[in-house]
Amino acid sequence: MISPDDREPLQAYLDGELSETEAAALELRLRSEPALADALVLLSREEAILGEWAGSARANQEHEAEAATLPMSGAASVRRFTIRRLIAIAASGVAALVAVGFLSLLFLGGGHNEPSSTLATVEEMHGDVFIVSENGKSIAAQLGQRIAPGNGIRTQGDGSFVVLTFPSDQSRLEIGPDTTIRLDNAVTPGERGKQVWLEQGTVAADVSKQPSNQPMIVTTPHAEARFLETKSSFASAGSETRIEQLKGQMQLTRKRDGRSIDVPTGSYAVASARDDFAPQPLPNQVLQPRAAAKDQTSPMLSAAYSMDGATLVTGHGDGTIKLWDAAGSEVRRTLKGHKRPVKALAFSPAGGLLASASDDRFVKLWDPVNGTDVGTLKGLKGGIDAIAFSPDGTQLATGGGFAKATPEVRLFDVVSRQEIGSFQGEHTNHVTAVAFSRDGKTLATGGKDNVIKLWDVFTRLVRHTLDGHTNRIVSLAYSPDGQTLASASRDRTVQLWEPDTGKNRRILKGAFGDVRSIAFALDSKRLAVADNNVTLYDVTTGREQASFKGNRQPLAVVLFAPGGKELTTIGTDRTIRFWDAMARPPVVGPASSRP
Amino acid sequence: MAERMLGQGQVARLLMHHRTALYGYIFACVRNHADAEDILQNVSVAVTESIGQLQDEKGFLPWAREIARRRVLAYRRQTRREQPLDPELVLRLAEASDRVEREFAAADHRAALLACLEALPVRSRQLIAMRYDGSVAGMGELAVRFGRTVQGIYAQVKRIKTVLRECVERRMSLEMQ
Repeated sequence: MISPDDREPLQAYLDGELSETEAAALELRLRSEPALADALVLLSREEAILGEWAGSARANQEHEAEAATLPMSGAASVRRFTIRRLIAIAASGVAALVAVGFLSLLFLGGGHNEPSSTLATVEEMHGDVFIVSENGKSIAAQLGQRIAPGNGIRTQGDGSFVVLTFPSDQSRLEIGPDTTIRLDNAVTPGERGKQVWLEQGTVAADVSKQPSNQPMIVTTPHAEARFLETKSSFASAGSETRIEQLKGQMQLTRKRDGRSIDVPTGSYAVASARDDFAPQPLPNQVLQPRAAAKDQTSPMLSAAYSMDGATLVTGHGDGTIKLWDAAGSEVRRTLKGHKRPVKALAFSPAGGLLASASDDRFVKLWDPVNGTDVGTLKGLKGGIDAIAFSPDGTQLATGGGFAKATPEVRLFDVVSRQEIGSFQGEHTNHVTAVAFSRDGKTLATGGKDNVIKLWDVFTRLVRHTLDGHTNRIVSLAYSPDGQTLASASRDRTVQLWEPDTGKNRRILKGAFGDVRSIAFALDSKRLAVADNNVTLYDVTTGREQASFKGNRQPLAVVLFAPGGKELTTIGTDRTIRFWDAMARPPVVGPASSRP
Repeated sequence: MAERMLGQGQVARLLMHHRTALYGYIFACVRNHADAEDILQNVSVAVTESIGQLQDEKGFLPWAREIARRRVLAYRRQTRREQPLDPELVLRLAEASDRVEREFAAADHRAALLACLEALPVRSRQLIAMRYDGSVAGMGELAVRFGRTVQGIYAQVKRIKTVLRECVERRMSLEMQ
């Protein structure tokens, strides 16, 4: 971010308030100091956003004031607003092209509105939730707020969700994070149902009490579903929509070819560009954790189990580390030593050391039994996002970065606490994940540059570059048998790789939230993938074996407890949940992934 | 191939998605909103006309930024402004824009800042809106409207922007977890 000393002259420069001499001196610095140029661009971008926001807010106010004086009503006035808004936007630049989008919205929302009526009300909400009026104005939602036909709902950010109820029949919509929907009355003449346009994100619909002849129709970019007396969930992102049918039956039509299928209870279907469009059995759903523990003091960002499984350790945003008993019923000890968030934790393979890495640029080593600080690994230039012990416990690798986009991967000798090498010249942005191969000869690193590098630990040269993700890598894990490397990315896929050749073996899709953590089971056959929920995949077939639901806020970490029978999730809602990982797989089920 | 891959709707979507990044770069170069709007409009037209040159959607922003860089230099030449722009500085700012985008995408910046604006107290929001919506001639008029001294209004705007910046940093820090 921008240094406070530089901010004022840069702002004055943008505002044209510097003298010619001052401006020339600053420009000289801008040519030779990349960080200062970065700061100017960032500040300029801030000005751009504020200007756009303020202009849009003013245009809306003017249109509203004008509308109040016009003798129009209902849809006509809404159309007039929208057309005027289009004209206003057209003046700002790229608008001619954008007009198509707004005209689409006008079409979708127009012609049948009853602005004075209430379609739904906000029953429950969390995080940033906005009501979007037909003229595009967003206002923060409030509990109990009425949603008129034609209005949209937008949730924004981790943990944001909103529950809407329809007073007419007690139908419910649970709208997940980063979701945009628009509601309206049914558009088909003679029908009295409800229409939901899901632009992106996740929605769970319970219309089990809906009267007959009043179906709910959910339209996504890829599919349209008509259903009555059902419970369903929809997730739409990128190129596909997934529909899970929990109760009742629905008719699902794929938009690209108009093909319709019936999706029965206990099934799911995916509408996408792929050919397979058929209901598939849902994996076993685990809706309740066996136990849960809350820690309200500070968000939990990282976690690890001791080798004997007796201790669960969590790293927190306030720099503390907490040692819990395995059941999560009590915090046995709190370790204080870091000044910034603890982003990564790892136990040495023999269990004698706990390593913690923080944004404060230090890796600390602790005696996990008595909580003593037994050393600090120093010399890192930036915050640390990831650490890994070598399988023999003698080395520790760190991944992170400094400045704007400078990667930093270093290797330390655990006994001497000294740095013994670094891995340079390959990544072009911060490194966010590191993992040692089973034999300790290879270090896998993944970063914000979207690629994974497999390094020879001895020569520190790259053996393979794995280039298959389209967004930053967030987690890497070798299977315990060493046969598979799994990578999770912000592109919402998990990919499986052959560690020796770097060949991509399989892409696991189906995540509709940000995947933040993955963990292999001890048998190497199952991989837990955490986004807002946890999905357990069969690594060999790519089939979903089970899903662990019930989290409304995203998960930060998923772990298998030693022994492999229990799955532990650390939520951004500051809750630790313990799940039975031995959930039964479904009897039949095709691969939900593709090679 | 690109022409087949990227239709007008996609071009519009890409332009909208990267509008903040492009405008931020252009404004950093010309430091004048009217000029920046004009140049962005020129860039939008040029991008739409020459989209066939783009090989891959992933390369859209660097490609569009390069068009913007040339348009910035051309615009200043055409309009014969009193202060010519230094091509090297325009290039350095393009490189900076690329670095900043890699580190902190404009779309994320925009989303975070808009959310933070929503969370401001009403009066602070009004002040920032009037500061940026072009409805007042300058800080002097803004001071009169809000019953403050000019220095006081400067300080107030600065405080609110600090609050917004901290809010954005907090949100991005959570996002990075």
